[in-house]
Amino acid sequence: MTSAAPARRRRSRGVLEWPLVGALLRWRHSRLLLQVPLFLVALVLVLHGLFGPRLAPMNLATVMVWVHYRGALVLVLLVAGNLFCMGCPMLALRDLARRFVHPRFDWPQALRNKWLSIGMLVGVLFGYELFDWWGDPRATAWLIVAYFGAILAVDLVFKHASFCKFVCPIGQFNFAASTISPLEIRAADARVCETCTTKDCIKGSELSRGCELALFVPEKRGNMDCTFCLDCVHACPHENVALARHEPADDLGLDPHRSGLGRFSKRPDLAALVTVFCFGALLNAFGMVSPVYAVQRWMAGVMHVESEWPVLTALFGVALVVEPLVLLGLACWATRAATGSHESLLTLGVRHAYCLAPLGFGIWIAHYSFHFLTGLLTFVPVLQKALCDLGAPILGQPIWRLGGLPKSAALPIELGLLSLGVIASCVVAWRIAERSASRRTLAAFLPWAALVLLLAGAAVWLFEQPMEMRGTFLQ
Amino acid sequence: MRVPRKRSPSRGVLLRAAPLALLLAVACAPSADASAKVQCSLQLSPSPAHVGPALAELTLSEDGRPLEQASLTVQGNMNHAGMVPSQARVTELGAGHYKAEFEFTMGGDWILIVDGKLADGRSFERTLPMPGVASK
Ligand code: SF4
Ligand code: SF4
Repeated sequence: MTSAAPARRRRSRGVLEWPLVGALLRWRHSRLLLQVPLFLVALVLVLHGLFGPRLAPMNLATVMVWVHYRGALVLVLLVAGNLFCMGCPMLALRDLARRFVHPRFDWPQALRNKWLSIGMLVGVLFGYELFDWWGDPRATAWLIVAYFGAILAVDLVFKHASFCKFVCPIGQFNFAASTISPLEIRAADARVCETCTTKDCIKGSELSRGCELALFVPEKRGNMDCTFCLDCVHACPHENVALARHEPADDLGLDPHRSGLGRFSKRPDLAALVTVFCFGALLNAFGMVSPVYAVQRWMAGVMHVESEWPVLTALFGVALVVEPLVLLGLACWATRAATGSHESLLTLGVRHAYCLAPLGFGIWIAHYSFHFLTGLLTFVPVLQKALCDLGAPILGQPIWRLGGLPKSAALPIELGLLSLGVIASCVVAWRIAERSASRRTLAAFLPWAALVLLLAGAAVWLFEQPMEMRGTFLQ
Repeated sequence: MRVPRKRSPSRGVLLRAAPLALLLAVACAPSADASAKVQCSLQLSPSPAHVGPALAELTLSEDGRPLEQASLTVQGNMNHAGMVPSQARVTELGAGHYKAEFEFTMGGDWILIVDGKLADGRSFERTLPMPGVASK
C-alpha cells in the first residue's frame, strides 16, 4: 500500500518533465532503450575483435572501445551525467539472467567498501599498459567478454547491485567523475518524502525494485554511487524523484551524511578512490608520451630486468602509492602546521582529498577528448571495411583519410578542460578549508591549492610532450 | 619405465590409413596462395625512423627475379586505434624497386601495409612492421 500524495505544488522534476525525453525516461523500460543498442554494439565489437583484422586501427573493437567509448563516456559525464551506467548492457544481461537464477547471498560485510574496486581499477590501468590492449583487437574483445562474465559471476551469487557498487572499475570511475556532472537524482520535494510512509524508492514496490545501490533518495547527496538506473523514479508512488540540476563538484566541499555512503570525511576508501582517480589520470597520460620509454629503460637498467611487468609494477607503485602518500602527506603536514590543528594526517588527508576529483576529471577528459576529437571519424572507414569484408559494401569503399580535429586544434580544448578541473578543484579545496579551519581558511587552503597546481602543471607538461605509443618498451 | 602396449587391430588400420588421409587432405585443400613466393623487403629512411616525412624503398622479387610494373598501394598505420593512416605516394624505380613517400605523423610502432597487383594480374598483401618510430 502506498501513502497518499500531499496536495501541494511540488518542485520540478527537472529533465523528467521535459517533453519527449522526460516521458521516455519516466517509461518503466526506458533503460532498455540505451541498453539494447549498446548490447548490440558490444556484440559487434566482440565479433569483429575476435574475427576481424588483427591490426588495431582497422578493427572496430579497438577503435570503438579505446577511442570512441572512452571519449564519449567522459564527455557525456561532463554535459549530462552517468548515462553510460544507465545504459550499461551488462546490467540488461544480468537482469535477464536473474529471471532464472536468483542470487541468495548478501555482499560480505568486510568488502562493503571501495578497496576491492580500487584494486580492480588499478588492475585495468595496469593491464592496459602491460598487455597493450589499445593495440590488440583480440584482447579487447576478450576483455568485453570477461566483463560480461564477471558481472554475471558476481550478481548471480550476490544480491542487489553488488558488482556496480563494490567491484566494477568502470563504475567507480564513473562515480568519481560524475561528482562534476550537471545532473543528479534527488527528491523533487523534501516535504513529500517526510510524509511518505512506504519509502518505495529504497524498498521497492510492485512497480519497480528499490535502489540497488542502497541510496535513499531523500538522504542522497550528489552523484557518488548513483548509476542513474532510474529504479527510484519508477518506484516512487508520489512521482517525487527528480533528475535535476546539480552544481558540478558542489557537494564535494560539503560533508553531510549521505545515504549509502555515510560522511565522506569518514571514508578513507572513497578518499583513496578519488586519489587514485586523479593520480591514475596522470599515469595513464604518461603512458602515451615519449619520456615514459626513457624512464622505463632507466628503471629496467636499475632493476636489472628485461621484462616489462616488474618495471610497470614499480612505476605503478611509485605513481599510485608513493607519490600520493608523499604529496598528500606533505599537504596534510603543511595544513596542520599552518592551522595549528591536532588532527592526524590521515584525518586531514581523508577530509581534503576530495578536492582532487575535479582535477582528476579534468586530466581524464583532456586526455580522452584528445583521442576522441582527433580520431572522431576513424570508425567510419573501419566500419566500411568490415562491411566490405562481409561482402556487403553498403557504405562504399573505406575512406581512410577520415580523421577528426587536427592535433593543433585539440590542444587548446585539452587545456581548457583541464583549467575547468583546476578551478573546480581550487573551489572545493577552499570549501573544505572553510569547513576545516574557519579562522585560518587561507592557511588550510594554500597547501591543497599548491598540490592542485603542481599536479595540473605536471598534466600540462605531459600534454605538451610528443605522443608515442609502443608495444615493446625496451626498444 | 614405460610398458610397451599391445597395438590393437583397429589402431593398426588407422595407422595404415593415415598416409592416405593425409594425401586426400592435401589434394582437397585449397590451392596455396598464388603470390606466396612474392618477397617484399623494405629499406627505410631516415634510419632510425622518426616523426616527419619518410621514404620506404620496397623491393619486390619472386624466386630471386625482380618483379616489375606492379601496381602498389602503400599505407602506413600505427599499431593503435584512432589515427588516420598515412597514405604513401608510390613511384616505380625499375628492376623491382619502388619508392613510397609518406609521413610518420606520430612516434610509436608503425606498420606498412603493401597492397599490390603484379603485372601478371596476381594480387598480394604484405604487412611490414616498423617499430619504435621516435617522436623527434
Ligand atoms: S522519493 Fe522515496 S521517500 Fe520520497 S516520496 Fe518517493 S518513495 Fe517516498
Ligand atoms: S538513486 Fe539508486 S535507484 Fe535512483 S537512479 Fe541512483 S542508483 Fe538508481
